[in-house]
Amino acid sequence: MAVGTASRFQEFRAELRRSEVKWAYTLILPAVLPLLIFTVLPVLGAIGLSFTQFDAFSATMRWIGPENYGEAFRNDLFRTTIRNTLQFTVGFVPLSMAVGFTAAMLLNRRIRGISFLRGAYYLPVLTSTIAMGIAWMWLFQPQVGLVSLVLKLIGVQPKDWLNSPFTAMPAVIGVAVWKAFGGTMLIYLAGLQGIPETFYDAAKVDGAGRWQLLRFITWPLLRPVTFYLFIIGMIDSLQVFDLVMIMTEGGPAFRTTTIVHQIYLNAFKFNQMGYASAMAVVLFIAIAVLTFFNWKFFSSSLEY
Amino acid sequence: MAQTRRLRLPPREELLYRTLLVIGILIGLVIAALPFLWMAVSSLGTAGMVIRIGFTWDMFNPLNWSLEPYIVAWKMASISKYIRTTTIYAVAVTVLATTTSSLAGYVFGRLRFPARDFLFGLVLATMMIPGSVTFLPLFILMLRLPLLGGNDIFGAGGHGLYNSYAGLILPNVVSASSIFLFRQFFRTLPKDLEDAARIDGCSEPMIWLRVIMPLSGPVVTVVALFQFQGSWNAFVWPLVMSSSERLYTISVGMYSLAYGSGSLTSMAELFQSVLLAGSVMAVLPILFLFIAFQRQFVQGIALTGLK
Repeated sequence: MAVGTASRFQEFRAELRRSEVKWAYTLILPAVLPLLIFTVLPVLGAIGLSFTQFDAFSATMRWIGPENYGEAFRNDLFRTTIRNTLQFTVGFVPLSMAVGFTAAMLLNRRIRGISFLRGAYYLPVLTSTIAMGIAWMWLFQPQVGLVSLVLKLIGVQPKDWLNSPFTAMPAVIGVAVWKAFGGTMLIYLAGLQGIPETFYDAAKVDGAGRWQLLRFITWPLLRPVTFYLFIIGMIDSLQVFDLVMIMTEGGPAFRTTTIVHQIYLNAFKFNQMGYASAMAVVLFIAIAVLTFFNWKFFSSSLEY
Repeated sequence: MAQTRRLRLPPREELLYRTLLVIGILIGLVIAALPFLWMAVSSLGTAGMVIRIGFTWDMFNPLNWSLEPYIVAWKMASISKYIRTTTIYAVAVTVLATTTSSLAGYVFGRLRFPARDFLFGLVLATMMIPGSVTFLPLFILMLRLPLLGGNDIFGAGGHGLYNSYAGLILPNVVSASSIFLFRQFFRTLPKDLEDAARIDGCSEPMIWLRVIMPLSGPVVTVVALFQFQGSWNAFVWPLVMSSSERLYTISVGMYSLAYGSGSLTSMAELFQSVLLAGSVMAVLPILFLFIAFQRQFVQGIALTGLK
């Protein structure tokens, strides 16, 4: 009797296991299949296409080996593109982090209306880049735009900010920082809330002032957050596109064209899909390297 | 707590510190909010006033406001069409991606099956592949899908899913980062609940639907909000996937208006105000969502930002 119950129980468990495995594969299918088709396959596709000359509309394809990569390295415009993207990165990453950190330090306190303030600082992140780019184009309007009016107060002559070679990129960087700092702030705030109060109390007992608390406790303890934001900021910078499209269309004279903008133009305006794919592969490698550093850092220094 | 944290500075320095703090917070507020206010006020001005005079205090006088740019934007500049397309796109993506991702999150977080870790590793790996790398080959894939949109079995002849809602939506039916978020959350739920259901003969999809999902309101909300916000603002994919105004999302539509390929070119007089009115309408739904769900948005960033 007891044996019979036990074996029936075993049977029941085995049945449950089989059904669990069967359902597991069924239920991840609608997630894993699209990921394979719409994310993994296109990466392989980009690598393959980068060795061809390809016209998507007439579907003619010719294998040309690594010629697209050779073309990219000889091409002056590609060099300009890389330089622009790096300029954007060098401007955007430290600025968005500095402004976000400052905002987090300002808003890391329990005062009335704090969630309203955090919300207001964060709102630009959530809004459409195209819509806000249009608003900012108007703010940068040479004669009557707010930027010109404010800068006139401190004696700077108005100019056509978005169409001048020396001001177009800084203007785009400025708007990108405005659009992003709220996100950096929230991540810094989350980091700040993870620092135990007792650290500060101990330092204060030792007579540390505000500056010393920041310098010797807050900043070092936020290092992982800073590193994370640094890498994520670079990954985002390498892909800047929407803002450039709406504010400058890459101009004046390609001064603000970026990698993704060139991928778009070559693929959809010049019908150079193979060449565009080669640029996409270069971008992919750069992002993969950055992601690897990020992962390496976090899996070695922190247990998640 | 706030009491213990305050430093004891001499009263005058404390006062100076606090004043600087308030000034800093206000400067930040002005920087963050001013473009929105400027956009809203300029969109209400009649065209002549804004263009001729630029910034004046008159702009802030409600008596000078007019809704004409909004009416023009809605009716003549096709903003109503763009908003409709964007709504269909964003709702479809939100519903589909939240469903598929939570199912996969449930399976990866709570079930045991062969190759689980390998498959989950694959999902994590796709998280690092950005749309800016894949949009071009993905476009070709959608254009050349066999047997769809007039294509033959080799994908030639027609235009596949190019310029269709299916083409717009399909690549976004799942989100790897949402799978990750769901899995992390589901792992914290007690196992007893679903075991009880399992003994009672409940199948896995029913456990997901009846036991797991009702306990997961907060994380479902966070994922759905970010899915909606992301697809509402999406630009690159809708841009390359649509060839006609019928399929323009609000961002693509606004871009085409700004660069004169839309139907607004003949209305130069109102042009700027109409563009700004369109931008306000592109931002408003997200603003309302944010006001309603601010806590969830903020939590979401803390969750996704730092894993």
